[in-house]
Amino acid sequence: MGRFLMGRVLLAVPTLLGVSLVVFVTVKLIPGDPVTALLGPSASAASRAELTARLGLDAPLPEQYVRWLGHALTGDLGVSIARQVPVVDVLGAALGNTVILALAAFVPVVVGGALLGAAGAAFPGRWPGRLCDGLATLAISAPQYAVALLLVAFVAVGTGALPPGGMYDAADPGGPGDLALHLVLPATAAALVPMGLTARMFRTAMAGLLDGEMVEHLRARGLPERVVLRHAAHNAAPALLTIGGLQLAYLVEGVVFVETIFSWPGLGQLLFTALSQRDLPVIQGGVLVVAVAFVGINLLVDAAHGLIDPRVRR
Amino acid sequence: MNGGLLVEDLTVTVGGRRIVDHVGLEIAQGKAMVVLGESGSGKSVTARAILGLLGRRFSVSGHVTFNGGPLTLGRDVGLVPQDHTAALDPLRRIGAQIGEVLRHHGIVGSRSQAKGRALGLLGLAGVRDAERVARAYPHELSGGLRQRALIAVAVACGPRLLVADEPTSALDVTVQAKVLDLLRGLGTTLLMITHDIGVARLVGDTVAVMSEGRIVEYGEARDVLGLPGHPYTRRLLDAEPRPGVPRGALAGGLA
Repeated sequence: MGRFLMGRVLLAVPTLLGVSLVVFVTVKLIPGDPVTALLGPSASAASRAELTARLGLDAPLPEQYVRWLGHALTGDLGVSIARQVPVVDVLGAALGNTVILALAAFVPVVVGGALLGAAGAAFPGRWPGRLCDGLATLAISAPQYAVALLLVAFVAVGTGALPPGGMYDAADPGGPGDLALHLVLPATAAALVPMGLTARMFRTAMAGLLDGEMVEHLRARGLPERVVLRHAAHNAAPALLTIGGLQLAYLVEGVVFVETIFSWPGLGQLLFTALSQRDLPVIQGGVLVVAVAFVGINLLVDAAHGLIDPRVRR
Repeated sequence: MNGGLLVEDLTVTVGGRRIVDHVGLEIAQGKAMVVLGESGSGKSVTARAILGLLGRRFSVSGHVTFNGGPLTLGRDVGLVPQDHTAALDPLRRIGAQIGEVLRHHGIVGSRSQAKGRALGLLGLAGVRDAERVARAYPHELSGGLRQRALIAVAVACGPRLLVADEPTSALDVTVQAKVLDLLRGLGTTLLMITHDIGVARLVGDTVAVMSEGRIVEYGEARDVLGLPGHPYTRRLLDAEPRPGVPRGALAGGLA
């Protein structure tokens, strides 16, 4: 197991290097010029040249990449052009807020998805199964922005029971309780589609197992049905893990609509603003952080997969 | 008859199609019966219907009794399956899978007792280094060892009946004979499903030949395989490869 984990971690290194290169090049390809964005179109050639040199944009591209990567490795992602504060500070706060929202949404995604999927597989063609299949399909078909707007209009504004946006009460910011209250609606809006997808994929995995020879043989051994289901769930766990990892990555990537509608100061909102301001260091840093999170989540999924399945960890 | 397995008027339909048609079987205690037939003849479904393993989409009628009473899965009867790769839980060690059966049927009380018992059962199934096999995951074993592990699971609770569904067709030829010897030597009543006439000759005291869901011929193995009465049985026997037939030629009948 130790060697298996070590191998996975080592494999992540070239992946991350590749990711950093792609991020760097892609951001360079975005149309628009940060110097013009900063100084305005009527700036003098001298001041343009001076700023270009100061930002390091006059060096050849490979040199710019190496310098950027070296700084990134030491935790220095540059200074936000638009805000004139270190990118790391801006990103850190936004990432933290997004992770809070993502984890709050992730719990119903996994728990609800697994329950709906398992019920759909265990009772095919009967009402509990059909109900759960239907709920999963409904969840997938509910567009995030529409659900978010409906929740704001009917639950937040309509009943006043829950706040319509922000992370804390503006007039009287409270502690974790206040945060939890503000999380309910955005987490619900963010969770529905991934929960439905998780349910559908987990249902397929469970159904294949329940129909398969292993389960038939477990029944032939005379084991009680709950023990048989436990074996099946254990065998379906790697599938749930893989799906869950993908959905978590999707949530961390920033649910832009949800963050925008609920004024959640997260990564999605930050990147959206940075794009419109041509704030290259923030865009580069943000995309890099998202990509690294992706690789990290995949690494965790692989490790957990190895823990569950002896065939994987060889 | 009050000893052995008695199957009366077993009929299975699925989707409006009758795939097992009024099948009756009788195996005297301690004897071995082979149900012989080509794929699609309904022999595997018959075995599953006897064990009560068919899913909800099958409708089953008829009576199955063993020594005059009902069959309890795992306790009175063990199943030796065809696909040793698919039948074991890939995520659990062999010893744990045997132990689980022992504990659920109340044969042993504790995990440590189960462990010792599992080693004994693996030995009974002809496994030489039982310690290693008990600690192994299924994918770490050869096909022959996996099938022996499944036999150890099947006989864990001392059943008096074994149902074996093509138990050797996924094994190397060299291992096949050993596994058949083992199954025969366990001393239980044995119901074996196969398409292989050689296996039928080796194992069966009696043979039932199935075709299209019906039993078309039934009797002592010597008689059925020596002097087949039904044309289907004759065609089946003629289709068996045998020495002396030139390459490219057919022995006759079933092309």
